Amino acid sequence: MSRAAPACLLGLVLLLVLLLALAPAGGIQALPMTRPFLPPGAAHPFGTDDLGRDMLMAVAQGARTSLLVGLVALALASGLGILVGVAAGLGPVALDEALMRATDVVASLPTLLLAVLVAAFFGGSALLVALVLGLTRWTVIARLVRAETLTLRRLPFFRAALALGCGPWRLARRHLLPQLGAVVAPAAGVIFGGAILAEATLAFVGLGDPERTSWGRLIAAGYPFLDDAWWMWAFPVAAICLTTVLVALAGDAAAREG
Amino acid sequence: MRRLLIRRLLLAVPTLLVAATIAFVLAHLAPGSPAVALGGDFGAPGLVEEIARIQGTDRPLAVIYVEWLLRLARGDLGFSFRAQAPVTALIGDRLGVTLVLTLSAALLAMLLGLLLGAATAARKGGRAAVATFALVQALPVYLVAQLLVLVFAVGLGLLPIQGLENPRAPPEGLAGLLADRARHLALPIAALGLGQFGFVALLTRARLREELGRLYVTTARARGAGEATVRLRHALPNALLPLLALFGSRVGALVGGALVVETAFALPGLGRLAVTAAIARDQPTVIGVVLVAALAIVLANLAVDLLQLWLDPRQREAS
Repeated sequence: MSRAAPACLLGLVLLLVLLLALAPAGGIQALPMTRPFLPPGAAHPFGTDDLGRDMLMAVAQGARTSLLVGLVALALASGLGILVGVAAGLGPVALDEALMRATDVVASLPTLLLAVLVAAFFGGSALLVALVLGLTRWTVIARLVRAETLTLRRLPFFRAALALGCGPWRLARRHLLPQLGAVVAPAAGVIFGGAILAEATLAFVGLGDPERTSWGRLIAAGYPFLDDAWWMWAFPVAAICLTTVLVALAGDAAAREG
Repeated sequence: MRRLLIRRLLLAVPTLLVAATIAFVLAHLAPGSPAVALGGDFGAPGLVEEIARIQGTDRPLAVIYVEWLLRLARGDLGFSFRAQAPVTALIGDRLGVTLVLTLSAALLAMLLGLLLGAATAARKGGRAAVATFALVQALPVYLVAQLLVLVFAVGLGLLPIQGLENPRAPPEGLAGLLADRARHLALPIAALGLGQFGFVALLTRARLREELGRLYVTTARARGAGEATVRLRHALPNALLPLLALFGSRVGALVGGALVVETAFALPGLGRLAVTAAIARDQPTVIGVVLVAALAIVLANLAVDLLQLWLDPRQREAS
């Protein structure tokens, strides 16, 4: 499995670069209209939608929003989770107790429901939804990081660094962070995929971002044509599945190597 | 054990309070108000102000918040101006559907996940199974729902497409009612359960593989126990303990899934209530549903804790 992680990541990056390079400027509205409901063929590899727009271009356009949502949620959740986890693991007992109880509280929040509220109340901006997911789903990472920190701080290398007069910042940055990747990676992969799926769910219940095209919005747009034009929903669905599975595999492989 | 219970219960109060307060703040910070939603953007001059005065939404936010908290403490969730009914009644009407849906789906996901996870936990191979489980987990729930409808309702004509009851031929008697409900809920439960089972199967498989490498498994095999006995009677109970803790954390995902499935199948449940109420700025209803969802998650975690204590003698001694 030692080469699986780079292979997965490379595949993912290549795929994404390809999709983003294809994405036309100006959004899905700027796409030229040809004949509607064309099945996949030479001119349009993914077919055309109900307005005659090329589905390959639409999926490429959707990649921008979906990946952005995943990345923002992932960055926020990892950042917050690592911060809270390390602080709880290294800090005094009182801080540990306070932070972990706060984590328990946040972990009990119905995150998707809150995302629905925010999308309905403030307009379904994809970035806002990513923000909500990132701010509520860091608890898994915080717990994992805290447990790992508690294990690491008993090890000789850590005690040696402490004895040499290492400050808490340097301890966390130089001695803890490099070791945490393996613990964080699988959970981070799940958060990334989960955010993309959550955004797709919101698009389905009618709370998608009206300004941006995401894979979820494409699926929702293809939903009325489920048995008439399978290519309208199958390709965005395949894009979501491929991305989440590849990310999960990469995270898993990273954990095994670490 | 009692200490753990008390700790959990003490933690439940701030959890519910935080959930309700977040929903409250979001609902009241949002642009637009229930008065505007009722009066319209182009209502007669003074109409919106008049409605706001009747609703009491024209007072300062802090006053509304304190008053709301006091009512909440008495179990009063407020009054929905949109439905012209108390929120507790709205939620009570829809709680049954959502409970049956989520509990049955959770049961289905667990059974399916445990069985398939245990069946594919062989020492070699099983990559295809893992890929399938991961893929099923990555499929949007509403797509699974609609594919099920296409096959079983449209294609084979076995089950109804949506709704909770058949308005053309109202069922007679208790047995008829139950059969009708079961027919209408079969596809939603299947959709929600299928959406969740991949996770259980993946974890069961991973945990079981770990357990199968232990010495007690070798001992059981040496004593001549069959493969099924080794896996199900010896290894599975040990693999289940850490799994159990994760079931509690899946309740949130289940609630989110219910929201989608209820929309896809037009079921009158809490999830759909939340979406329609949120779009209509029906603040008390939205806050009420968030509170119920948070309560469900807290209760599930409590149940998991108790179950773990009951199943695992080591934890019983430790606490």
